[in-house]
Amino acid sequence: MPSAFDMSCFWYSFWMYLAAFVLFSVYAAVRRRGVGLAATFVFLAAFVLLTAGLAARWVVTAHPPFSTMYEYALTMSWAVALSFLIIMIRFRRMVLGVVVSPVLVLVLVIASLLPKEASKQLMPALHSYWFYIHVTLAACAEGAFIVAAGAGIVYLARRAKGAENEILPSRDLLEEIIVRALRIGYPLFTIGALFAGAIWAQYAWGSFWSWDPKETGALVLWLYYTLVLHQNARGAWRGKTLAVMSVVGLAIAIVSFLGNLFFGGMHAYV
Amino acid sequence: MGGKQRTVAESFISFRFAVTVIAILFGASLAGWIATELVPPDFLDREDVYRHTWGTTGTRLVDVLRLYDPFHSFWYEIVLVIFFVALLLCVVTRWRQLVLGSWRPAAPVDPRELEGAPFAFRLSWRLLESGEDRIKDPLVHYGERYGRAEQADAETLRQRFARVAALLRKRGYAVVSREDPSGISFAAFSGRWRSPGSMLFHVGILVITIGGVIGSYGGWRETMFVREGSSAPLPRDSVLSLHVERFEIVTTERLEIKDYISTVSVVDKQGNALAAGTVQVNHPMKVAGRRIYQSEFSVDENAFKRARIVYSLRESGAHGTVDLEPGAPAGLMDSSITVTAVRYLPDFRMGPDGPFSASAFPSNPALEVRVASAGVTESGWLFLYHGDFNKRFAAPVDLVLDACEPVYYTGLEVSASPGAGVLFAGFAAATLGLLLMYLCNPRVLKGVSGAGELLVAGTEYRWKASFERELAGVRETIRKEFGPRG
Repeated sequence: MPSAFDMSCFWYSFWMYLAAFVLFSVYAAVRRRGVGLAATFVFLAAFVLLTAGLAARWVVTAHPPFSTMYEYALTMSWAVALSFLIIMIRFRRMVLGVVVSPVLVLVLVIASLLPKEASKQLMPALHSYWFYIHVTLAACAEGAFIVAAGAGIVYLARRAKGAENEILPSRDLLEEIIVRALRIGYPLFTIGALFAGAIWAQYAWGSFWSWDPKETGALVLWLYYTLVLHQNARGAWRGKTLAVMSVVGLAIAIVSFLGNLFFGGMHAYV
Repeated sequence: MGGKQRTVAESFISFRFAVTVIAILFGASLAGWIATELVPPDFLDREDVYRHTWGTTGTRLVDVLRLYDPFHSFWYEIVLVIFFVALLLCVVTRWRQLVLGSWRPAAPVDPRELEGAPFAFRLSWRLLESGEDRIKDPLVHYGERYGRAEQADAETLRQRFARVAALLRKRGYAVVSREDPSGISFAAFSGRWRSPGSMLFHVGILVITIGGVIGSYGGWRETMFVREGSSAPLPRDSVLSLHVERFEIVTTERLEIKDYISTVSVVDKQGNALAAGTVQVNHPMKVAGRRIYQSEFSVDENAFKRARIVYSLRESGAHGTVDLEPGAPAGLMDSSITVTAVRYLPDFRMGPDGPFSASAFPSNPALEVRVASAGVTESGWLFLYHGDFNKRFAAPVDLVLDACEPVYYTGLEVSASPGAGVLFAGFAAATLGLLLMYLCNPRVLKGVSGAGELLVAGTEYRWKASFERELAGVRETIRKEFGPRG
């Protein structure tokens, strides 16, 4: 049964991300390359399973898996895992998995609490290619913000442990990862969540902007990251401040994401 | 303008002011977001109730600050105006610098300009060509210091620089150079579209803000409910009216809604159709400068178009179907029994006062029928999806509801968005600007290719760590090119 298959993939990938987190933690503690490679392998296997699960769900529902909060959370975690794998290949720092894997587990825990029913039929407002542009880009953007927050936490951990800690990446590198992640996430969020969302709203609801709680949450998040990037550009928020701000940004993103559950409004899809 | 006035004016166009304005707008939006969750939108209607809960001061505060609708309050509009002005000043005062300044960086006039650059390296031509792996060449260093600098003819200088320039071009840099007595000074730059992209993005946001203001003040939207088969005047129009031919809810077999479709035409006073077609969710109809959207629907609970029932006569075993019109008795074949459809409910529920419809959506359609047989009349309900609950009549006939077509009201939203074109232009400009900003990686190298050594300094970069790596790569490439095997 394909639907059972996608649920199995979800749960196996969940446990494997958890195992990867344990292995990455052991790697950070004992500094054995073999442990790090094992952690990376388990993480990669979890990513492949999650990809397979998403693909199976896509086949079952006959539409891309973005229509419910559960599917959105899975897509977002997929984007986070992909970003992590790219960063790891690019910078060769397995230790970032210590932060990224628990964040993924957290996102998947949230996903596990949401209704998982696969519906073949999208509600009429979602029958638009703007839906795919809007949700895909927003999920990838939020994935990038999660990566930035992860690097921010490692930065703060490194600072707390002292400069002699060699297992963690250098502060310069971490800061570069934070800024790169923000600078990838920001345009994706601007174009996907705000612009594509506004254009779609104009076609579906007859108004570009309705001050719906979810829209306002997206605006707040966008203004926040606009502020962070401007401050960073003028040299004011760097290093520790930037790391803290990336974590605060994630908190705002989570409130905005979960806002569906308690804010109501036109985005109240569960 | 005096010195003090100039300072004040400069502070309004400073980066710090722009950031402060963004911070204020962020704070105001956050406050508005929280306020909309704390203050119910029905505040104005139930102000007395809230006064009892929050007290006079609290209620007055909510009223004055318009916290029940904070994004249309005076304080939020003031913040938006400040943001707009700051953005406008930013664009107006920086466009030349952003668009032209970064386009073609100048080669350094004096090698000493490069001394403060964070990333720089020197390579001695003599050491390079001999393959020695030292960083500093003492001959060059002390030769320059004691006025016995190495000499090279102009042709050699040009040839060396041409090879360096070719290597830089291979790495995606554009190179400009100038010959002077100390050697050939040059600037190599890449990713120069970033600054114009930044400019375009800011202009785009400005245009979007203008479009939003035009839409806010010049736009409108109104919802109209029109019964199938009837017409209604278009809102804010004395000439045109909208005629709804048909409304249809397209569902799957599992009753999941696929779409809502209204078949409409817009006619003028003379009855000429200006536009005709279907209006669906995500597919509005554009007519006479306004758009018509499929928004809602409703059902006339006291009417239906027609119903079809399947009957089975208990005595003869004969069976068949019969179509019923509202209130019109229909006879069943081979019998004296007549059936009359009395009432239709789209979402049947039983309440204390009798049956009622819980919603307009046909979740549990039910038809009340009156059956007359041998002078006896009786009434009962037939259910489309729950036939087990159908009334079993005393008359010798069993009835099953096969279909029932309700009379719908389609809810259409008619709107005018005069700022839509401006907004689309803003979205396009800002998107293009963002793509240029984030796809271009601006880097500037400046240097001097002298008789004794080559000096290269990274003067502008975006990513410190990766730029450092790139510069190390440039250095290694030059070493290989000019080394003994190169």
